[in-house]
Amino acid sequence: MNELILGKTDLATFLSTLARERRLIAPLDDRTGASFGVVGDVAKVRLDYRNTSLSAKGVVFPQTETLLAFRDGGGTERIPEAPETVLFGVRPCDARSLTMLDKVFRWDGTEDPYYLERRGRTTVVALACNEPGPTCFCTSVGGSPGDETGADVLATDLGDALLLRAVTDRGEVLLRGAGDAARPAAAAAAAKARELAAKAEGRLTPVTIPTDAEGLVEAFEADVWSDLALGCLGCGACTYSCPTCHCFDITDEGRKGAGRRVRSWDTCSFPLFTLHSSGHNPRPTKGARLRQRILHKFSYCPENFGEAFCVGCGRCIVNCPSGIDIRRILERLVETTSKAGGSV
Amino acid sequence: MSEIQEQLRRRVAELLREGTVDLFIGYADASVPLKSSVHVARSAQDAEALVWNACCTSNLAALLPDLLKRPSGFRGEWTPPRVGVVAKGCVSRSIVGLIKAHQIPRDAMYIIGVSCGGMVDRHRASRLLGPAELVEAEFLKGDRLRLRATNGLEREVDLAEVLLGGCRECGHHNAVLADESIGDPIPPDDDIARFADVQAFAERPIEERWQSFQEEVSRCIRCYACREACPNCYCTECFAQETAPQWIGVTTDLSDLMLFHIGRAFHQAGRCVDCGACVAACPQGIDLRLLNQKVNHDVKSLFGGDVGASLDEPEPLMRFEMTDDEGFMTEP
Repeated sequence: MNELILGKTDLATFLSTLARERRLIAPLDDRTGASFGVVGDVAKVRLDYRNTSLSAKGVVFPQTETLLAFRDGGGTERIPEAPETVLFGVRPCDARSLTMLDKVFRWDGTEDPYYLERRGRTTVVALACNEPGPTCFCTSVGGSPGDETGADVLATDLGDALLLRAVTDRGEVLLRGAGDAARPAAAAAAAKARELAAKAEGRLTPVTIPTDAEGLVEAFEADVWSDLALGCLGCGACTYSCPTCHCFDITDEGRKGAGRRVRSWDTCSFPLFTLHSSGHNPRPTKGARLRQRILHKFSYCPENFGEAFCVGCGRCIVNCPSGIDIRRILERLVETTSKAGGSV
Repeated sequence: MSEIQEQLRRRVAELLREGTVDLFIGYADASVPLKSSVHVARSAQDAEALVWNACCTSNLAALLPDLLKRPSGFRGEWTPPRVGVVAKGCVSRSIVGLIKAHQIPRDAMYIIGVSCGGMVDRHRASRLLGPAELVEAEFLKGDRLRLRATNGLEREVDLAEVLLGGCRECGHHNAVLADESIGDPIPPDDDIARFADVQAFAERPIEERWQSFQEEVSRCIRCYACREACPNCYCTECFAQETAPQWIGVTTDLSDLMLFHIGRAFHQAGRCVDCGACVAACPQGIDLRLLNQKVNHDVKSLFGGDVGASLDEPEPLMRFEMTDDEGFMTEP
């Protein structure tokens, strides 16, 4: 596939060309570090960030969206007309997470037109990680700092230039239409990118991930859950910042003669998530809710989709008000399941 | 600080060993700079992980009702566990408030009071580094803090520069309710203007204030970390998530966000101790304190008194006098 080299001094020109016919979303300055936003001024796009406080999932799966609107007895479904979008500068973990969301929103013959419309019009330019953070653990969950999964183009920061490698046809098209700012890359550039990725990989501390699905199911009734959840406040900071969490709620909002049906993010951390109208709650405790979050990612998703739904971005660790670290939870689980006779 | 930490570990180990408490809630180190984690010790060995430093931002009182109240569906006579807790000034005031609101029984708790010089606002500290990100923080002698950023930039600051807003205006450094105390009490600083921040904000033109309020709340992702981190938010069903009737929508539309934050601030009237736990908990770095302080300022100037100051005095909004101002009443 096509490999181009783009001098940093030409980045603004390159991005302006991309933004001419598309909506450009990229990491911008934010009080939490960096956050994804629609780019107005290409000079403000940041490459020097480790990761954003929130993931980029909102671009394809917004926190709030109107599914249909009704007035005076008639209703119209609102499939969005998403603009062509370039999602520039997502880290490889986030790019990979999009392939997981794809599996959920097109599953077993059921398609979610709202998600698919946005996703189908989004070209992903991932930015390889040269300096993973202390809370990163992508290599332990099947990713890597230079992973191309989910990316249409993979960019690597070589210091004074970016190496742009087209990964898909879509990425190829994007690069072809990006003007003359980027030139064909020499083989040495690709070698340097590989070297940087390997170096970054070496800086990550491996985490033991429970892979024994049966052992995890056995651990369903274990005491370990209530113990792990003791400090949990039951907020949604972990799940809302997670790139793979995808649960939502659908509510109707009515006024006299008019209203709308809204889809909004929801989370298994809230007691309300499973509260029945009878008053019964099948997940009555924080332990039961924490178990759901962990087992959904590491047991049910492997069963349903063939892989664990965690990309190791570490956002849940950074954002937890109680300082809960999912890596420690996973290690405890491996301990518990091995004790229970599992083959981990 | 480290001396307090040593004493704390020793005392908690003793309390657990001799069975005075079944478990003890405190703080431990976290994986992220300038944060701590909530730590529940059940054995003398667990007590070794307890820490006491300027990152202990959580208000541990928020965890007490869940541990001490009869679990829903529990049949038979409920005996709460004996819970120990380390309490800085604000946490002890929250405990007082919760006891008075009949949310937790006094005699099931063993409170170790610690005097507190203030906690670090990690968002404020990060902002000092410009666009670079904080990777490491180290406490130095003389209340100094060394911050290290992603780009290798290092900066040393006075702790006072990066404290939470509530800590900079704190009037209660020491626990107001404790079974024992560790560390020398810190004398109150009478010169501190307790509502300086909110008064300065109030002087700005109304358009600016409105703009600023909208900018702040539009960052909200409805994760409710602020609510869950707050000891006062013990309602079993929050108005923000009630469905019959639905008081406010569940979306991130600006109107819903504004209603949630205004509603929450009003519910705090006469109960907020300005501990800053909500500010520290917010993943989006929203200045949640401003609205709360507005309400706190109103309560203080209209009704006087200090929230959660002692078990004997009624709370500011829990008492009345025949001479109370009734100017707000419009109809007889």
